[in-house]
Amino acid sequence: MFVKIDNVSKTYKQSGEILQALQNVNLEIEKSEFISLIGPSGCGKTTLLNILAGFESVFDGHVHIGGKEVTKSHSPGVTIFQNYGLLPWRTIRKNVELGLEAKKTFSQREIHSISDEYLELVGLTSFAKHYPHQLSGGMRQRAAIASALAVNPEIIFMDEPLGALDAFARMQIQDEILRIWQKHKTTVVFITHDIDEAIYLSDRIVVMSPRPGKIQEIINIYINRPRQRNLPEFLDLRAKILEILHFAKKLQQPDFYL
Amino acid sequence: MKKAIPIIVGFTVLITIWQLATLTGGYNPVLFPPPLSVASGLQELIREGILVESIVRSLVRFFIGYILAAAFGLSLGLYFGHFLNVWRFVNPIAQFLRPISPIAWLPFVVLWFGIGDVPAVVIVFIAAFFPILLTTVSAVSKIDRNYLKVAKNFGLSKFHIFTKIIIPAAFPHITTGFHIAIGSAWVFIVAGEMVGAQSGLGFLIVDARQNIRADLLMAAMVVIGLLGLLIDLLFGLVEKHIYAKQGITKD
Repeated sequence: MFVKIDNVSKTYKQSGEILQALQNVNLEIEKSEFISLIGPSGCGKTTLLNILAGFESVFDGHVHIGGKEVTKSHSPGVTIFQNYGLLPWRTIRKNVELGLEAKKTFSQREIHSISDEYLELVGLTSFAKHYPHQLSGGMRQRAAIASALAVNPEIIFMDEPLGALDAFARMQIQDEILRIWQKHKTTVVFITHDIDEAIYLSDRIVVMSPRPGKIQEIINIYINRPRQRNLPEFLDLRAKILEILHFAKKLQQPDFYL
Repeated sequence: MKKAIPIIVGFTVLITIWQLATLTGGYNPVLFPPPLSVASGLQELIREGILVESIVRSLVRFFIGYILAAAFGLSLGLYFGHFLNVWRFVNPIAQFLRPISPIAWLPFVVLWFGIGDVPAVVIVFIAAFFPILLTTVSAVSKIDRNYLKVAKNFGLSKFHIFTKIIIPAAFPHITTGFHIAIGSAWVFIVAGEMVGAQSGLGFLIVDARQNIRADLLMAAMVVIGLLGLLIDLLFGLVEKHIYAKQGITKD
């Protein structure tokens, strides 16, 4: 198993109160799998992602990725943030190159050719010399994806990466994420609030529930890609998840009729 | 060009009021010289080559002092901004030294360094150092935590975090400190040169006073003001360029 989350718990102290952010979370993720974490705020999905990405060092339990334990100084993954995580003083190309510059293994020429490759992959070749603020939200998110992919990570964590985009840009980038994922076979852990987005993208959806944050149910999705958003199977899954999240409205019998 | 119009209009109005005041007020021109005699005084200074020489002298001293202050203020500011635990101890000392006017240091400066170029340089240094130090510390300590998260995300080394993240992230804020410092330090070049120096714009003022030449006195003041304005405008352009690059709009 590529990712092994073994009995992970995490508590926060918030103004004297102890908050159980995660309670006994167990999850295994296969290599090249696309996993979505979904659930209401406070269910601990971002905490879980931060633990996987090595941003959160104090927790109970163990996390292994590719056989190695995740610690504060070691996580093989790269995170894509909702606010894109681009540096405003760097051009798009220089942003894509940031992670490569950190590795001492590449020459300047190699860095350049790798960033060329990934800029082309996300369709931003002609915007290489632009600064982030000159690009639309969707383009910025594509740049963030390119910068994450450029370092060739074994696993990518995405924390509501499309949350700030409008519906059309969202669907467009969803397709791009799928295309790139299928090409690179990178493992993806994806946080979203959007049930349709989770169904459209994922191999499995992990539904979490709050207070204390824990895994409520794991749903396998066997629909072939590309998925039609209005297929009966798709709608059934959506109904099922809504029900798990207690959003399903039952038809109530009125007390009386006029 | 658009920016030049308010400057021209403003100064035209100012000079007109000045001229009218001297015409109608019946002031003694030795005590309050009219613009035209100041202009001819200015001409005299230019003709004798004093003006250009004084300006060059003052600017050289000023920029030596300013650049030294920038170098020390910036490097110490980067250090303290990063190590806030150390800054906790240094901050009270800086806040204690800062309100002491650079002019108050003058007697000591002359006693320690003698007269000549050094007092003016030191005064400019003191005047510029504190704003640069304090804004750099605050710029570094207040950088967006998300940028540090990005650095961690890609596993940047400590050195790279400093050079590739902290310095550029703090840079726009730091330039504001440099801008404030360049203006306030220019104010003190005159004081520095009035005491220790035998040349420069400050000395020009002392010299004019001793010869009771109000026109030359006012001419030197005009030049000091104009140079200050010019330095501010040039710095503003540099700042605007930096901000534009990062997509920050600032009024």
